[in-house]
Amino acid sequence: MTGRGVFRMVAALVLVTVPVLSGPSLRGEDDTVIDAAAQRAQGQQHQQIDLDQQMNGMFFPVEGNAEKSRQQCLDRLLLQVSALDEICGLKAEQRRKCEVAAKLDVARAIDEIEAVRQRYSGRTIDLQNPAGQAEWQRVHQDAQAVRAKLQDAGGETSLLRKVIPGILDEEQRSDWRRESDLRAQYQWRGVVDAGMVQLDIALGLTSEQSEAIRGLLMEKPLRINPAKLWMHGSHFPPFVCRYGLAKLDQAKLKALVNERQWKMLGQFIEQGKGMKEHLKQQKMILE
Amino acid sequence: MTITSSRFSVRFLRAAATISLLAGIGGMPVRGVLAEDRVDVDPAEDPAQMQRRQQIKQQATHWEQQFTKMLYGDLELLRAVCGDLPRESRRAIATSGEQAAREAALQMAELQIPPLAEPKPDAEKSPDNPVTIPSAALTKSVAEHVGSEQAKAFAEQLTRRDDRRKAAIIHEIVAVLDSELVLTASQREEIERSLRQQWNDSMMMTLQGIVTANGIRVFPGLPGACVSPHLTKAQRQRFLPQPDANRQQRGAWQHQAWMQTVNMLNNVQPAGRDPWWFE
Repeated sequence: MTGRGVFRMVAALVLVTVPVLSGPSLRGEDDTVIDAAAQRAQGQQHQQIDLDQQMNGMFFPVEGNAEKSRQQCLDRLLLQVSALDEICGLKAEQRRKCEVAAKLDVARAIDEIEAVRQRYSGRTIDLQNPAGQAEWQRVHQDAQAVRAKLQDAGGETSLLRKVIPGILDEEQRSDWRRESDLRAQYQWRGVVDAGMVQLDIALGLTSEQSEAIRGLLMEKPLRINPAKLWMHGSHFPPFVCRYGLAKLDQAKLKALVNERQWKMLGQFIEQGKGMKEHLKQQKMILE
Repeated sequence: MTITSSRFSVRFLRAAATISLLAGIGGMPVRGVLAEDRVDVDPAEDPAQMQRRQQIKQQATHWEQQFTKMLYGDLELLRAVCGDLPRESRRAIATSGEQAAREAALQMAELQIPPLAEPKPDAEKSPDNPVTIPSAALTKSVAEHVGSEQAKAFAEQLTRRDDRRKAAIIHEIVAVLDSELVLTASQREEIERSLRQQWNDSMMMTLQGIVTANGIRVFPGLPGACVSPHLTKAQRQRFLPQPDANRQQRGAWQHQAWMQTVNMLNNVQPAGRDPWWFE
């Protein structure tokens, strides 16, 4: 081999091996080349979170827009007023009082949200240090609580709920109570249904057994919050039903099934007990 | 300098090469091929088809577990209906049930992993519901091995259970609507009636998770015509039915609803094989 030939061979080897050893082993046609320094700067920028820019999106469910979210929350409460009107035939003055109470409930929720917003306003979080990461976590927790405030407006402890019994006359109050009882009964029946569909199949219950267990459950309803409970579809209601089974007289329940079914039913009951704290914490059951 | 890629092709090749290399030199554990994973190899078969068959077989393992839980419940019901049965009949019935559970599992997996080619327009017949296969097989087997009276009694119990299930799902759907729209008792009744008249398995999708559009809940699979006419103007503004679905979408919902039915015992441990049936 001539000296020129050796040089060519070495040059060819260098050309082949250098990119393999020093650079990425494979590179696709769609790869984009980015300067490392620019990427580091961009990365650092991403680590800095301007809370004023983030909070609306995290706090307000409708397009991250405070006003639209407020309006939607109010519309939901006004639906309760409309339903009341439908049942009781409200006079104009009664309706106006209910609407004012609904508006105040929403305003109170918005005020509370605003207080949280003010706490974080003008601040930037640095995710590169642990303190910043911990604070970002706190913002997320507060955002969850803030969203819950809008969801809970008009709930058990709201002004609207307190005002209603006071402004109705005797006949209206009786109609309203009857309707409220029917709604509570209907909602509980939904929970029982969701649980019994599973028991029917897993335990191989006869129609008679199924109806008897349903009967026991319907006699001892739990206090539930339907809006929270059905928020995730039919995932949680069967667990509430299982917890309802745990609260029944176990001897009565046992008398309705055979030994094999009782063993299986025990599994459902234990799961219900295990979920109790979570269901309470999420305000799905109220006790 | 550094490299980023907008597609996965190059990274996938790198990862695949690394995995095969590590596996080859024993640096990474490799899952052994289980008997149930094995697929008969036909050299003439399209690799994509073979891969699909493999996936179906794997998925069927999951579905078989779920169908078996349901089967044990059905056998319990059958025992309650028929009372004592001759040993040979018991074994024959239970074995046919287990066979049917395997068939149902395979059919469910096939629905889950659709064929590679688009279905022909003239082949749009809806597939049968795999959920009904085991109980239908049990009923047939009872008729063969025990008697038509017992088979009839068992079938009647199954029909009543199915009616309860349908009524329960409708009730749950209306409970969800009620929690969103504050319905009156008469509205709930009217909507329930309307849903009963137009019942379709895909309505079950309404109970799946939560879908919202700008904070307003969407109800997939729920025909607006069953609900909207019974609402007030204010309620209609807060009710968003899923836009009209095409045939394919409706079919997909139906399949998902069937899967949801079988999966509902997912978090329950199976009761175990009752030896009375197999001794």
